[in-house]
Amino acid sequence: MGFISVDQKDNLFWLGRYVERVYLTLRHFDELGDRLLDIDSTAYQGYCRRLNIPDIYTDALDFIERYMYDQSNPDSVYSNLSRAYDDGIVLRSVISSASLSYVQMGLDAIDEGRKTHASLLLSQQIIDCLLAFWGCIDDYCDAHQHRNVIKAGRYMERLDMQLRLHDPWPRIEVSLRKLQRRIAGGGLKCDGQAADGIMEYVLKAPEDDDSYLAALKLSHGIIIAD
Amino acid sequence: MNKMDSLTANTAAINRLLARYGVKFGIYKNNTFHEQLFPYDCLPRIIEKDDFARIERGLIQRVTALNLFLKDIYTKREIVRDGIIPEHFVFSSTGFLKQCDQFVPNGSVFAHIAGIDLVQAKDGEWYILEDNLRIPSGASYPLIARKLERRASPRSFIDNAVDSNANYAQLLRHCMDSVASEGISVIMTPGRYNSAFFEHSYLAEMTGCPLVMHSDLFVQDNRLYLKGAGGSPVKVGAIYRRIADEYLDPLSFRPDSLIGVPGIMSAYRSGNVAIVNAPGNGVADDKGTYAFVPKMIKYYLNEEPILKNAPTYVPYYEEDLDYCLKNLSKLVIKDVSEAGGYGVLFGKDLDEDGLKTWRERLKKEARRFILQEVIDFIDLPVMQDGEQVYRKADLRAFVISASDGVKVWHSGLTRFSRVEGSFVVNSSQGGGFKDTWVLSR
Repeated sequence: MGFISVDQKDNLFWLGRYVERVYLTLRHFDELGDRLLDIDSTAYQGYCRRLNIPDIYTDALDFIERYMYDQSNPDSVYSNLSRAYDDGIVLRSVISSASLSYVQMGLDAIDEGRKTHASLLLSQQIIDCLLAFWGCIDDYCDAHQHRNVIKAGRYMERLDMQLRLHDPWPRIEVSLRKLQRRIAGGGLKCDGQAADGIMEYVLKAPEDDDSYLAALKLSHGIIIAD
Repeated sequence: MNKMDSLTANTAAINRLLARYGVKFGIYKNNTFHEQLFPYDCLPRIIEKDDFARIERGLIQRVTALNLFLKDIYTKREIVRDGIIPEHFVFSSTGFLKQCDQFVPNGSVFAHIAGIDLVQAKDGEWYILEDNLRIPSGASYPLIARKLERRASPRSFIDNAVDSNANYAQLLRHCMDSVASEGISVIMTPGRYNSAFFEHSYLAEMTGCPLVMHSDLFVQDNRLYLKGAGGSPVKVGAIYRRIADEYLDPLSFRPDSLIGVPGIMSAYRSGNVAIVNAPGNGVADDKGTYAFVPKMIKYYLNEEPILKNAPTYVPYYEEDLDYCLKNLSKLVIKDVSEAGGYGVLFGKDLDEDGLKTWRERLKKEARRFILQEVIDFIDLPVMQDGEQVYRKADLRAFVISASDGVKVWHSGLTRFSRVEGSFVVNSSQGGGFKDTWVLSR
């Protein structure tokens, strides 16, 4: 179907962002979980700082539980996946029931994890659902432009997370180039100077927090509003 | 037919898939929105070919008469002039909209999608319980359930010739396109917090029509347009709106409506867009009007009704009121302004004081209620906790009227009560659903 409304386009972009946020968080959680258990039980504090989310957790276990499953915590994986669902449910006719079903299954898996307190065990199942979701988008979302908008959201989120977590430039560059391609394909406008600025900041002082922060700020303006 | 083993064995798997596809309905409890799964039962209602052929003829006859009634009421009003229906019943109905007066929609179709509720009595006779001509819901549930049943039990569909129900989207799309003015067809939803949002979005997906909200639409030069993310507005030729009449256009109906499209009624009355179903249909599916449908069929078609109404009494008539006052304890009372299973009261559930109060009320508010004999409709087998039990069930049949003819969908939503002995089958009151199989031989 070729038509989408202005609101649906917005939903599509944010669906991509939230799904990617959950996916990257879970991927990162694997590594962070090991650090919390084996090396530094306060490592979550630095993580919260970098993501600019409030550190409301009493200890590592509280973080693992509430950051994953707490419905009342707006930063939790659960809340972010719920937001993805909220964006997705109004897009059934654009992305297909098949694609939407994987977001629903991810939510079901996270619900199951909440009930059984199997905090990290269910993350693989959720990751599986999200990967299947992206596969479905490629297969079922027929309109090229719609796929580009949702993937612009995906790579915008990836870039954002990478800059916050100080990923090295080669990985950031891949995301940035993909984002630029998707912005163009989605009929959105890209600020080329912002893209160049991100590269300059990250390459100039790769160990410097301020450089990443400046690059992050630039990334927020990379898509020019209509 | 006893080939249902693989269906019953796979009920849990089907329900899981229905959950996965978000087959839900919304409900407000204590001012909070909840999404609930619609409980599905794997044992279909099965209707034999000949039985359904009679139902089909009866439904076509009924909906044809109802469409003629709507055209007449909004133009010449001959049925009132000829004394078939009292004037009072028509013009005091909240469903009668003066904003629709003297206007006939494209193709003379008013009730494009009719959801007709039937029950089958224990003697096999089918009775019409209710006509839903505004925005009837429910077709999407058997539509998606059938897909899963076919995967769960191919053998059932090889051994039994079951009419396909996969054509609902085509019927709907054809209906919209047949009455459309120049432009595209769209489905309009009030939003995801509407109780039937799953249906709106699923039908949009199945028909290939854009799913739109009020904020996506605007009227300019008396024409309805869709503003897309792509730039130029697109003219809308037909809109299958899933919002109630009173919210449709704040310039014509409730001025405080935030979910309507200002000016859409003017575009409609100018013939520039078809509204599916037509505004003002409430006058024909009013529970008070229901009592007169058999008379309508004789009046407009000069035929005997093929399908019977449940025996109905209208306290507005003195003779009926007398009967109701004497027999209240065995009748069911229905508030004509309510829907969804609300406003229904069984006389047998009232004590002496209750009966006395209701007798007084019927005398004072004769137009507000109809009373019906309780039809002891059949119980259908339902799987519950691995056991087969029997529960009351009705059938919502869907009749689609396009400009080139009226068709009955060879399926339907069978709703059942999950409480033993209860006659209330509505989803909003805890009922479940099952598919309806129409046999083709």
